[in-house]
Amino acid sequence: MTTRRFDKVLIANRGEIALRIQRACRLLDLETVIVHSEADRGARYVALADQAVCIGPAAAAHSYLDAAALLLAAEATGAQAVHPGYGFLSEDAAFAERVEACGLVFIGPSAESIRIMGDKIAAKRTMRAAGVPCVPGSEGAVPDDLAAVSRIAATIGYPVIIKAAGGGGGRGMRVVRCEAELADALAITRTEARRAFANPELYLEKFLEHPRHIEIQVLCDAHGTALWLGDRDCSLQRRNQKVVEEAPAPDIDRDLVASIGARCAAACRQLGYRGVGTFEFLYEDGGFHFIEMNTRLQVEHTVTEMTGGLDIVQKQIEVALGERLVLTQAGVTVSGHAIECRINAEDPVTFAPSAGRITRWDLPGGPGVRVDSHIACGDVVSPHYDSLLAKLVVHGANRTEALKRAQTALSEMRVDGISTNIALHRAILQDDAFRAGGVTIHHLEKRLAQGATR
Amino acid sequence: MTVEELGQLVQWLEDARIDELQIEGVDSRLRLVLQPDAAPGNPVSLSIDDGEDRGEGVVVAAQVPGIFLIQHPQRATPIVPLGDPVRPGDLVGLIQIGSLYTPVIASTAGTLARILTAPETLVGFGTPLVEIA
Repeated sequence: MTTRRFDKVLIANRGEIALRIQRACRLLDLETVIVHSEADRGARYVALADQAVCIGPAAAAHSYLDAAALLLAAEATGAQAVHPGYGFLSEDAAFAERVEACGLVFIGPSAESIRIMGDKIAAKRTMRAAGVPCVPGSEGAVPDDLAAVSRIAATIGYPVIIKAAGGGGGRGMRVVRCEAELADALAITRTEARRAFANPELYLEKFLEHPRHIEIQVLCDAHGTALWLGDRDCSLQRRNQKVVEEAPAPDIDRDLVASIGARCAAACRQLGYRGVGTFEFLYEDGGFHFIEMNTRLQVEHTVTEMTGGLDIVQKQIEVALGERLVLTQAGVTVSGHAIECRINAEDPVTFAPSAGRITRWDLPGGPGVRVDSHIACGDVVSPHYDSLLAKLVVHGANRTEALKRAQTALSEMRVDGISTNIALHRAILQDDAFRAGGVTIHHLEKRLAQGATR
Repeated sequence: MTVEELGQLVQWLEDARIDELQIEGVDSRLRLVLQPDAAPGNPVSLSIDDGEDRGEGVVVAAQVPGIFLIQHPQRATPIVPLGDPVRPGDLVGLIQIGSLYTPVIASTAGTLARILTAPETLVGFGTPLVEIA
């Protein structure tokens, strides 16, 4: 028997993804340590772990985000690897570095990869160099000279968007529709950027009016093999939060998707990327434009699993073990269609998180229906963390069948005691534009503004 | 916080069907527990918890995850034998994390009344370790 790089994994996350990771560990005969906060002490998934250890109070800053507490728990339990899940410390390069410095395996890419992709300008420069198409824009920061900026904007073509290099999350950006608006918009954004981010640097990008959000899943081992596993359409969003995801993206030329996927895989080889990752694109008028790369497992990896017939978390851990991928690009298949509905604990009107005790928890079933959830009836949903209760994932031979399965599954699902967005999902599945496929990232918010999906 | 405010909090908990509430401040902690089997109309238990005081004695809880020890591995006797007096700041146990030993410190004066967790087992944040009475 050969010795593996690790036999025991500390799962540095909570909720459904902690359980999802534990399931993959079981498949690989790896022992599990689940760390939890005081608020999650009584959770069912915590009791399922080989070892569970409380690392701090409910507040995430003192538990799931406390790198020192996580590393002490790893040392105390003898875990040799840390799986960060998504959110929390999963894209924190300094944490990845600390894990490795402790002699543990970080189940994810190198700290360097995380760092490059965390810097928007550096990520874009890297992708452009690797031949991944980006949103047309200025190369790096724009000059102070208005005439020079005006020439750049004219080359890109209006409308353009001015973004602060230090900004993000919707802050520090302004859309400019014609040359006459440029001077004022530049001055205001630069003042804001200096004040808010202490960095007056600005860059310009083409503003896309009606894009879709399409992403490519990649999987890479540490021996130079990089594969793309499929595409997903995550355009159904509210305030940049994905609500429904599907795979494959409807109504896009499959040859074009394949060529983009191949470029993503090539970029990974060039970067020496390892583990799983997602390239996010805006898609408009037949063109893909890179926006960012997520250097971690994503919530919606499930739809790719359903159409690809593989366990992405298992593969992610195998490559972290140092194994070579046996899978080849030719062996990656896409079969049928999958849709994921994120079932959240939230008020259907205000979208405020809903906390309380779940008094009824009826789950759907049948062929092609999968529910990833950490919840059991009687559980108390804590207000401390994100509101995801369950991922309802359906698969069908084609999109029509998947839509029907999703509708049936949602009709079977019932949650009492707290408010959920199940009704919103039912409305989305009856929405004509969504049923036709290919809606833009603004579609859901427009419909909500019309009151159509309440 | 006033009694009226506590009453309002309890009302909110009942409305939301939440049976436990904990509010943590810089130097205080409030914990409200609604007894599920209390008869309707009966007052619910209100306990203001400073994080240490439970029951008769004062409980010392773990602050870090690790293996709880009541004696140093190279000594034959406990750090503090049961029933012996302790003063605030006294070492009463250890938490072992790999080769690191962190102290478990008495927070109050009294005698070491009870060991609340089996020694040489894994404990986590908040695990009650010993009681000083």
